[in-house]
Amino acid sequence: MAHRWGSAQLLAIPVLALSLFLVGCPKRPATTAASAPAPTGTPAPSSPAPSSPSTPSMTPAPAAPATAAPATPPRPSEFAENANLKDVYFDFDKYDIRANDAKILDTNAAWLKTNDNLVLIEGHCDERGTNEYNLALGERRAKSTMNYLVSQGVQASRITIISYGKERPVCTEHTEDCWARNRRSHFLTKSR
Amino acid sequence: MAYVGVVSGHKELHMMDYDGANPTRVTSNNSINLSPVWSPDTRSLAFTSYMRGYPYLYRMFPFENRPVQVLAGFLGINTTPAFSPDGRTVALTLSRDGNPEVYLLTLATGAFRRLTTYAGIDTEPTWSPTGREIAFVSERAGGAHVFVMDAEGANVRRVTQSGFNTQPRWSPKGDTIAFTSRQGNFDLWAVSPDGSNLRRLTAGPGNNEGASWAPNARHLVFQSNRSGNYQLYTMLADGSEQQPLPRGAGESTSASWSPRLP
Repeated sequence: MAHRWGSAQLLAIPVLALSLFLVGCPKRPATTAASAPAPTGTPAPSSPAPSSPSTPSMTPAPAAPATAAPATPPRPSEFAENANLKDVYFDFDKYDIRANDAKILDTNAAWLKTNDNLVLIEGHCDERGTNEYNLALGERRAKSTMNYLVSQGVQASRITIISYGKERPVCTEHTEDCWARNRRSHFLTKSR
Repeated sequence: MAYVGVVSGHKELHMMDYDGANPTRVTSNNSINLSPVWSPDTRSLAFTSYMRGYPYLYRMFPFENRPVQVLAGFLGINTTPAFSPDGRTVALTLSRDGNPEVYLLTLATGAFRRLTTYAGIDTEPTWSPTGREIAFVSERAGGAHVFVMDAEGANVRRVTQSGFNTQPRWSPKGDTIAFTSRQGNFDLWAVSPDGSNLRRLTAGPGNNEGASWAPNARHLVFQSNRSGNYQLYTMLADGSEQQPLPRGAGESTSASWSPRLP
């Protein structure tokens, strides 16, 4: 899905946060509790950004024009854990679905076809490797998982994916067993 | 230097002097903020943040009372920003077309242009100092390797031949690309852009990753967990004289050495 925005939108995005400019000390950085709205036309969440306790004077974000924006996914925080959907796991630096995990996804797909929820697929990696590459790898894992569910008849329009790279491990020990548990796709759901 | 520091379990952007003095937090969004990079004029930082839930790409002006800009907010990942030497263009990774690819964003117009086309992962662009070439990471040859292409996306050639290689960082002098290689642990290596003169810069202990060049091309800052959690270190470009920067309270990673201040 292609979205563009012009320079006026890009450079004049209204701010949500109050930046503290330290007058008289120009090379000291301002502390920015910032949350900028997504540009018009992007699939960013249209709900207002949550206010921060440290920045009570924030101006609420204007909602994106409903007519211009495509279907926007809910924020990840709107999805909840669902014990009916089991995680699937991946080999190191791989994002193909393993045979045993395909059976798990078959079960997940069957549940999703009888329960009309939205689903968020999180792609995760183990701690090895760099943040940047792992964000891409987690994306591929979530996408492979999504593609499999779609192939089993789950509507793609119900699925949102997100990569957390190695930022949200379930296990923090530095062992092979722990790394294997972290290389996963995880599922959350939200009622329509 | 800009870097990522952990505060109460959140990854926030920080800045400090090159010797580690005066560490100051510059984001406070209680989220995950990653991969800060300086614009060539040192006025702004581009970075990826989950502050709105999804990994979008932002630009902030830490010395000015200016709003944070969204540079890219597409479905999927919006990551690995790299300013062109003239500051007019940002190379980045987007997966809006189905898988991670390298794009260029023209800041004046907001126009995106896709540079790579591969069904797997293309990511982590870094500009040559002339602005005529871009190195990046691709798994198109199997595993992760460093490649170089013209800034228009043509003439792709492979730079690394073995190992698992990520985080290419083109030196300001143009003659070297530093990168992180996994051969057992992760260590920093360097290679000429044509693939010659491969040499190892670190050899443990622990993992040594995420190099960023000083503007004089004589020093690098990097992160290492050689003493426990990840902290920042500096070294000369040949890997000698590795020195820790003063330890922060938590982990410190993803340093970006600023260009020369005006």
